[in-house]
Amino acid sequence: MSPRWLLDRRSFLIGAAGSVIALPLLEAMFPTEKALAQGPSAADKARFVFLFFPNGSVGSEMSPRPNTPWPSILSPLEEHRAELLFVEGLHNRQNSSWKWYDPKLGTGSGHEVGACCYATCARIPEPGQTRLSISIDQLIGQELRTKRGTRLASLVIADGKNASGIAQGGVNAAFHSLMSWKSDKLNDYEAPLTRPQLVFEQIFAGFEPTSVPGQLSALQLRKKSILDAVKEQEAAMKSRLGTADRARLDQYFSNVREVETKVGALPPPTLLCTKPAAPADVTSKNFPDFTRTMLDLVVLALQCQVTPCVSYQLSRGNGGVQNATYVGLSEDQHGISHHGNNPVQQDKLRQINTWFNGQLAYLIGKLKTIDELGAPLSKNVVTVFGSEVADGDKHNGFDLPIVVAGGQNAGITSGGIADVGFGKAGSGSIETDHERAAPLANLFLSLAQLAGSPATSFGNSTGTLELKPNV
Amino acid sequence: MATRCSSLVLWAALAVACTGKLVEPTGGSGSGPAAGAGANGGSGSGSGGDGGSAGNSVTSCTPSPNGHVGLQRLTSSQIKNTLAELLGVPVTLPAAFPRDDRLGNYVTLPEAQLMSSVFVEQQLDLALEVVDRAVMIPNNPAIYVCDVALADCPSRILEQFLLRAFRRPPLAAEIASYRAVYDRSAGSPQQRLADALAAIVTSPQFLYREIGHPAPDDASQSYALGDYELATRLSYFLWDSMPDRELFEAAGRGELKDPAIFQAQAERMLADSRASGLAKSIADQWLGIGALWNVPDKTDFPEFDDGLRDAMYAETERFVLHLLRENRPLAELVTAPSTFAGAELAAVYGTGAASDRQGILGHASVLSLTSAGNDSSIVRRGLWVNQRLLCKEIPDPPPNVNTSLTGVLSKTATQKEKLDEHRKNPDCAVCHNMIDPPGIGLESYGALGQFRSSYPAGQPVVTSAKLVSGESFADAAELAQVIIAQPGYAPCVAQRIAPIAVGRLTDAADCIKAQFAGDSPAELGFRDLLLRVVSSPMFLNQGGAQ
Repeated sequence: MSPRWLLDRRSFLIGAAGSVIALPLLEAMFPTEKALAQGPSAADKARFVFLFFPNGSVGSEMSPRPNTPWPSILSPLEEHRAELLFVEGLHNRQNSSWKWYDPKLGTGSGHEVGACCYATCARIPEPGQTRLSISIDQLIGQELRTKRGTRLASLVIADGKNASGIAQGGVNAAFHSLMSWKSDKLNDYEAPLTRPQLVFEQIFAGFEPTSVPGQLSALQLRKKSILDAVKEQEAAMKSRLGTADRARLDQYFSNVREVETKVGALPPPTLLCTKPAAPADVTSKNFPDFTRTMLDLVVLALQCQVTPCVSYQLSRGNGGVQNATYVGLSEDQHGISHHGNNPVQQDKLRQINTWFNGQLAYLIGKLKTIDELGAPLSKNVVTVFGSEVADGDKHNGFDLPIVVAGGQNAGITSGGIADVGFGKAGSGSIETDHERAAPLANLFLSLAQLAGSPATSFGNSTGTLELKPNV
Repeated sequence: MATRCSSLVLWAALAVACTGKLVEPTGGSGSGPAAGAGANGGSGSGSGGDGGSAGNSVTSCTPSPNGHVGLQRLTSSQIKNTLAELLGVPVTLPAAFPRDDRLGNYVTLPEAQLMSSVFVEQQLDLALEVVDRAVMIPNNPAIYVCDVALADCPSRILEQFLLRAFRRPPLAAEIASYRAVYDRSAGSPQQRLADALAAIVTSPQFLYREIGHPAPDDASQSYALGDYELATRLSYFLWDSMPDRELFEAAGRGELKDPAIFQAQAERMLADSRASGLAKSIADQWLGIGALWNVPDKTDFPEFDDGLRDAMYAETERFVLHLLRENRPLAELVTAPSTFAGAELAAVYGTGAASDRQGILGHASVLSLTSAGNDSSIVRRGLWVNQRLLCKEIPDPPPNVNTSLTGVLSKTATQKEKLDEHRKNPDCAVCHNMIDPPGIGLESYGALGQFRSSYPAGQPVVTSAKLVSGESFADAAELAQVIIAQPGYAPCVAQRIAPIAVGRLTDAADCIKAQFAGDSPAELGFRDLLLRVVSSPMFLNQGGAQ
């Protein structure tokens, strides 16, 4: 028996159609929740999911072409074609100063600039430092948290395979494993949750049957009192330390204040979500069940509106970390991704890509079935699915596989291809084509503006994109 | 072409690193003192080495300017051990407690220690869970120095507790701050005390090891550690836990700066059962067996389960503890003919186990860790020997390299045959001539460490090879002798252990390495090495060149 925790439909609140409470009554009883759920404008309902898959794909097979058969690795997504916008011609050419940076290929030493620099569109600083700039989930999330009063800015998840200890060539392993960065300060990242139970606790913190609506529980008050005493230690200790150690302590206290905010926050609105039983402690050794459980939790977090953003690294880049047993292969997925144009290895990578595409399909399918006061949740949730490299073998950062799913109520026109760079009509030469490609940061900046952010630049952005089919 | 090793630029970089003709220092005397002292070049896969044969004969050194160690946070095992000692109750970390981050496989370096709100939440929850149990034990000697119902008792309890929790006498403002928690809490005296104690062990003075410095922003100034700081550094090194009462009392009397007393304390602590903390640290951070948790996959290793994994950990940790306690020569790490295999491991090892095993090279932990999928990995094992035992610097394969051996020769070719073919490509050979030979020497052990003389397809196992420096060996036993004969072996032991002791990476230029350059691995014992490490300038001082 496998320790599955795959939520059934009953665990998700059925919306207007299945609700026994008529809408007008609901509105009268819970004006705040109604406002949260419906909001005065589309942007106020928008939520964003950044889903990362590792090690790229085979060539450019992750994109369909007009008037040609649907690519086999996209087969799990075919039923959701109308929900998808393939954004083509984006590059992830970090302005890296790292020793293996190759301006022609557009990447640094490979996967170290993977998840972190994918999500921040920033470059890794000198070795030994863990400092980047704000990632897209935090840029949008921090803004929307303030506006909406959600407990979290971004729910940050990764698979349990810790990349620690596999630091390459002096690059801190943190860059492999950390996708969500809160600012450009030293070590200012959000560590990912790697166990379903932790995610569950984040969603339902303070959500107790015995709690009085609008009031903190005794445990919450106790924790607040303790954290108050901890905060009192800050000034005296800092006065004794040098600059670098003060920065370390700053990091501790900024997280203490973060926890204080969470401890003091009220539970999610009960009308919008119901609390199911806690998930079993399935680990990423059972990768399919682990991923399914995490995706169920992502949907729950979106439905409960505890966070405007989700950042989920389905699996980490680089090798030796995750064997591809989920598609019946005992080799590690990174080794396979270096297919060397060997057809056998390419087929294995296609199997892996197909599997990860299946996870996106599962998420979309689930979001479509959930009704959020008259509209499918999928229309209010923008999901960006992408990888740190384009071709897994070449490690190139051009023509990244990027799919935007759903979000029609948030300003996305889906169902087609938006070619924003050289696309497939280019000369086929990276050296010349990349000059015409658009930075991935332009996509992220466009999303931030859809979310209502006043930002005019992000990472290495050069402008914004029209998120609608143009091919 | 089946193998494509690199572009021209990368080839040049690799050639430099793997032949040892030129050494690219990773934080040596050329780099200036920086706040992130020693953080550069950290890598479980190959920094801090001496680049081939260069540096093997170092007997003098230029003190590293990076002698300043930043604020170290207690690691997860240190939090567990410290809370247990401090509160007098058994402690189990919850499964969700964040695992330690690593740099160069070390968890002790400030630069490796990332902070997160998950950590703070988990620490707070753990603190509440542990103190709630501890305060309810009647007359718990770890807490109750007086009757808590008496008016002046809570402050006395807090004062003595704070000295042990913060590992130094508390400041008056600190006592008042936690007394205020007690005063504003509700419930019984025990419950109110629990709130104050939970606040103490969630405070940075508990979680971080502060070392005072008269000029904290001038890393070039050297400063001798104070008594309490020495006690703390010593106990977290040797026990992976806080000082006990005897060590605190010696610190309180100001005795630890006396070298004879300090040495006597270190010897006492090594004889204590808590020295298993150091054995675990060495097995995990130096030898790398902590990574075992995610390596063997049940699909590939049907006989592998948690019980067997625990037995693997236990064998290596007991073996290391034995070497430390009994002051066994450094050589025995790889040559010891006996081991501590229990029944579970004996079943894996099979009959004739003793004569087939050479120290750590025959441990199932190391052999499983360095396997890939359902077979041994010559490359991983060769890297392990080169990096962990000889401190060689070997870069990772470049981004465009095909590291898969699939497609080379026939499907039935042995791994060694494939690698022999692979090394015909000069781009690959430049590193693999150094990487592969020790791995070939260990081919008589399968993916779980089981002895074998032939492969499943019937071909005989070949274990003879020659190091790039010229020494030939016929099998694992001879390989072990070749390893200990390398001039870099004894210095490497010191170089690999030192970061656990002092919280910074040590590199080729570090004097700790030079101190052991003239030592014979057959004569120098592990305990003697540890006693020299704790008496070295880098252990006794903060800041300045060491």
